Amino acid sequence: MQANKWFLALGVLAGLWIIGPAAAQEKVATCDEEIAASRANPQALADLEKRCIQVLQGDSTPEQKDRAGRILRVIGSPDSIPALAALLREEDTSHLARYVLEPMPYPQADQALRQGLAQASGDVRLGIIHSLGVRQDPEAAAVLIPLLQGSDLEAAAAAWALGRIATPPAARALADLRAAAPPKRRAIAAEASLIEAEQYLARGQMDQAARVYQQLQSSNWPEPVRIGAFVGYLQARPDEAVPIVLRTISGADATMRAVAIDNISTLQGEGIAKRFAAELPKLPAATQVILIDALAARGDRAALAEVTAAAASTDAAVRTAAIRALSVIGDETSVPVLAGALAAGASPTETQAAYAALQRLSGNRVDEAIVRSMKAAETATRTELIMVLSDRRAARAVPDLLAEAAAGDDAVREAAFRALAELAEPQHAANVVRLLVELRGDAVRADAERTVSAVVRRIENQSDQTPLLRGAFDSTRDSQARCSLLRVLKAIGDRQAFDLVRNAIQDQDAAVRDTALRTLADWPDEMALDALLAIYRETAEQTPRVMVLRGIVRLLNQTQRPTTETVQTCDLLLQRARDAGETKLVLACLAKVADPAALKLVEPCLERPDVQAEAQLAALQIAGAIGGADLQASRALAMRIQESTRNPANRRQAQELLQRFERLGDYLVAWQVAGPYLKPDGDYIDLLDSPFPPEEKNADGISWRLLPLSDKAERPWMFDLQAALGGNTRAAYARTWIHSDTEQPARLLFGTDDGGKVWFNEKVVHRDGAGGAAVPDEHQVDVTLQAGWNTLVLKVLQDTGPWEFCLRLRTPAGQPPTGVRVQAQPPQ
Amino acid sequence: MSRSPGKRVNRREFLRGTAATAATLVAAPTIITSSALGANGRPPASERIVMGNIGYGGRASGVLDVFMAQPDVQVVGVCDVKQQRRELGKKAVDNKYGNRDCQAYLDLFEILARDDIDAMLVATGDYWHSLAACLTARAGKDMYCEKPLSVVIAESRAVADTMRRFGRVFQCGTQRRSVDQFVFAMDLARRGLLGELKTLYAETAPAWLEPYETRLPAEPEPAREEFWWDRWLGPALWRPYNHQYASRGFWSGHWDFSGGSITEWGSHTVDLCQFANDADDTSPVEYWQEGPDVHAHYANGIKLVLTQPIGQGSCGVRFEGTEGWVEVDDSGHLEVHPKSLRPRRGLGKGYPVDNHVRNFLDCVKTRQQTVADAEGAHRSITACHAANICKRLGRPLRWDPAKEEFIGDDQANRMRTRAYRQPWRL
Repeated sequence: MQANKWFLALGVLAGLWIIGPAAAQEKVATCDEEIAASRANPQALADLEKRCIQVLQGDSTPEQKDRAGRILRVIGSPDSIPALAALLREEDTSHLARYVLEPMPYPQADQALRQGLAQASGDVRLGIIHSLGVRQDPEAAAVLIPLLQGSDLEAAAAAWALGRIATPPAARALADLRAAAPPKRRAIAAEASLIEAEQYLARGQMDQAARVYQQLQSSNWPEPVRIGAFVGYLQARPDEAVPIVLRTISGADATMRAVAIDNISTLQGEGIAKRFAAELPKLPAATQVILIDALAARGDRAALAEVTAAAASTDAAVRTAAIRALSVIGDETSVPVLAGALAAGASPTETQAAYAALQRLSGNRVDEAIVRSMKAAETATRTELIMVLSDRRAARAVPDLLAEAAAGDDAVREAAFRALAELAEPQHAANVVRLLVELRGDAVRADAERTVSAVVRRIENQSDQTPLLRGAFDSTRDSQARCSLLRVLKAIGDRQAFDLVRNAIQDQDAAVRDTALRTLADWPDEMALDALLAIYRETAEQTPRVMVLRGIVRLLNQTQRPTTETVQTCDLLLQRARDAGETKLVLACLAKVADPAALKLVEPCLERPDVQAEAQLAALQIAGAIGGADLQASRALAMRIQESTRNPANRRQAQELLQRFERLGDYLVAWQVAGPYLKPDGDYIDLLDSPFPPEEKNADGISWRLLPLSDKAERPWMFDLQAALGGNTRAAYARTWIHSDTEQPARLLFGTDDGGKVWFNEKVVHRDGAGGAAVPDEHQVDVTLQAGWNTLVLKVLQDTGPWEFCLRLRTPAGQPPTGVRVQAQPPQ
Repeated sequence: MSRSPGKRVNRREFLRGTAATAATLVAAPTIITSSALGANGRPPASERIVMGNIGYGGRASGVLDVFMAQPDVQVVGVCDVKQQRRELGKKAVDNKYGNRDCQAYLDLFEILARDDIDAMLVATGDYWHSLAACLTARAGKDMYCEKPLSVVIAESRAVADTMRRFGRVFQCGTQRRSVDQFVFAMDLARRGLLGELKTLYAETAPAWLEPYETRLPAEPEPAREEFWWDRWLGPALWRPYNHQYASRGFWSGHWDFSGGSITEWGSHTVDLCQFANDADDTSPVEYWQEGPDVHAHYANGIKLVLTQPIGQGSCGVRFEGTEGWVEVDDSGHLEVHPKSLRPRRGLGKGYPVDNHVRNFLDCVKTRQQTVADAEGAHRSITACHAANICKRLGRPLRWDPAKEEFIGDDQANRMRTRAYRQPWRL
């Protein structure tokens, strides 16, 4: 789902094809070009304004006046104001007039608004009051103050405007309102007063601001007002902020306490952080913790000395808070303090805090300081500090880490290898390969192999990766080293690496041969499939045979080959299976093949007691996937297993499958899918009208396959293309055939994520590129079902995120149609 | 336009990166929400945040689902001017809770008047975001408000001021600030791991989409209960009803209702650049066009480029420093240089809202500011609007982030604001 983003793109599209071509021609370009062009030419500007004024004054259409207003909003001079003033009084045009007047930098605009106010009523009057407030017209106070006695709406508007104006007369009026407002107008008074105080803050009139804020902190004002006033007061009185905040933090009002804490980090004023920090030692431990956290949140290094001192507090919570704070305000001088805390290990919380602080500490010389502390530390701390260097991506520490990996304590070497896996670059590849070749014993071997895999794979030219390892393999006769290198080759995974491993199956060294076979069985892609099948056919020995079979099964389940090939291979494997164990492995493979032929292969095993449970499980999984294609048979199979199985887990799974089938309702669930189709260098929206092969007549080579039901228990009818095909910025096609006994009208109701197209009997009946979630029934298209077979094809686009669709068929009256059946296979 | 009191970036970073929030909670006896004071027989609000929703469209349906998945949230009302939408919303909420308790509202003032609601999800059309946010704050409620926060600069300034005025917790729906791969990229920039930051690239939606100001032909206006047309228009210039206006495909390309392609994606990508540059309390100071792109630079010299495309996916950003760069988008594409900067674990792809929603809810309880508070959201959308104005006027602009006005350009300054249709005000 690509929520939000493509809607904009679709604005133009939607406009074109929803409104239709005729309406699209009416699309009005913006006024920008006219405005921009006139700027360079004063005469053109004057002419443009004149034309706009004439439009406003004449019998122009509302559309024309609207456009003139948009232009004058940007370019209008005092010359426009008389025409606008005339519009101000009229309900239909008043807003357009204010639209132009409100942002004008001319006092004549204020005058027009004030005059307009006297002649207006109702909502028009409210609008004018608001514009006077927005413009902060000081002369408007006189006409606004009497309105405080008017209707609630008018009084609210006037109070708001007076708050913004905040002249002495306005202030007196608002003070009266605060003091004597009836209950239903107290909210009006409060908002206006807070706005008034903000104006004082902006003008630097701190005494006036503080006075208003102080009044609004009394308990008879609503909580949001008190919070606003509290915060405002701190801004107006920064000198009082420290004691006020400390007092509030220790107070009983939990909300104000939280607000006070939140504000420590944003308070402005000379030396605020230092003043708070100076109070630290005098405060109870719990308050110290809050304050240290808040000081850290300020990110102000002025408190570094006091916070560092607090890291040595006798109170554990204070120490932890200080350590945490050092992560933000500390520097390289904090490293010994934090490393010391790490070594001391006073508590898991404190240790974790120290580790996290070392991870996040900023400064150019911090990494060097950590390396120094690491070299001086005992094993446990040394290991932790190596991990810190890794987390910090301290690439300059690689030479030190290579030295740590080469010799010393195993725990340290393990950490060093892990860090090198993250930090070493291609230029270090030969170094880490050498470390692996020279490694003795198994203690850190796995880590060393992972490191070599990671670093060698970073060599940009992939064809240079295997030769480096081959060189090392050929240069050593150490069995352990050669086995390690074979395992690393699997991670490289290219043809050169594969050939080297396959040849090693013939190696003279038994350990190397065994490792080569295991590596092949564990090979990451189907490159190894044919080789493994050949080995399986030729191997009689039980252990390697099972190992190889496991590899085959794994690769079959991840192959992109057609399911028919997988079923054929499984058929052969079943025939060659020597015992129940091997049969079970093949059944496990078949369980993931969404093909009716797989089900047929499993069915005979349902009668074999030694593999019955596994066969049932496989059958249920296949039935779940292909259920849409043959719901009747799948349901019958599930019921049969539910009734006959002695395996509780299988019985439960059969029940769940039957429930899923029940939930399918009247959604169409028999679909074939083809794709994904990508458009090189194309964007999401390009996919919509790109005709991929399924849109071409008589296109060959399209791999249509059954689309499995969704495994989402609650919405099995929502087909999950992401699970079936995966990826971003692509398209897929789904098709089905609907047979109707008679010609009849019908309605397609569907939702897609993201956009798509629908063809019914080869005609496009829907086109919408809009991204967003697939909402059932969101789109509704009326069609006529022909007697006989009808084809339905969906193209579903994928931008990012989920990729889904659902569709059902109804009559235009909303009922399920009669005499209709659906199948996923083309009719004969 | 008033100014923000100071930086919040370090605080947010600290609180997100440490256990400080938890420590604060432990230290505070009880943190309570607004409605707890009114009581009305409700259980303590610290146990559950009661929520409502204004605007139930595609976006709200997804985000509200995430809210409802949180154990400490109870959604009790959905408001939309479209009958079909509000009924769909009510159905979704009722289905989630297995009852029929959710109330559907036509009039947002009715849902805002409910004392038992602590917080709102505001997910209207773009041009209603600021107004709905201010109304919600005046009603004493916290909110998670979808982006773009505004369609003109003055609107989001008013939102930031109003949130501060009433001490409201506000989370802008710029959820990429809470999504792993983007957080990772911003962290690289902010921690100096890219060296000295030089250029920030923010992807905008496709440039072939140019906004318009079309008035559509009049159609018979539906009954108010079915679709309250006047309320849908809200503060925008009035025009006769036409059903196409309410299609997102149409309104999101119309200047009256949207900021076009720059705000559509820029509200995410410019926002990420702002955060990467530790610039949540400011905006770039100069804007100019280079081809289809808008370039800008901050007072600290760092350059911002609004361009497209970036990377392989969509909605991408790229941060370049003297010692490295990172590029990330929502397809899961994340590229870094040097390679030592790569992430240590899979960071996922897409842009789920879960973490962002959780951050909001935690902040409602602690009264801390969120990771995408109103001031930061205002400053980032200001950069988008300024870029739009630069393009629309076709000339370079200079911006004073303290006064929040263009320097020496009266026309540009007029475009910062837009008079609201009566009876609306911010």
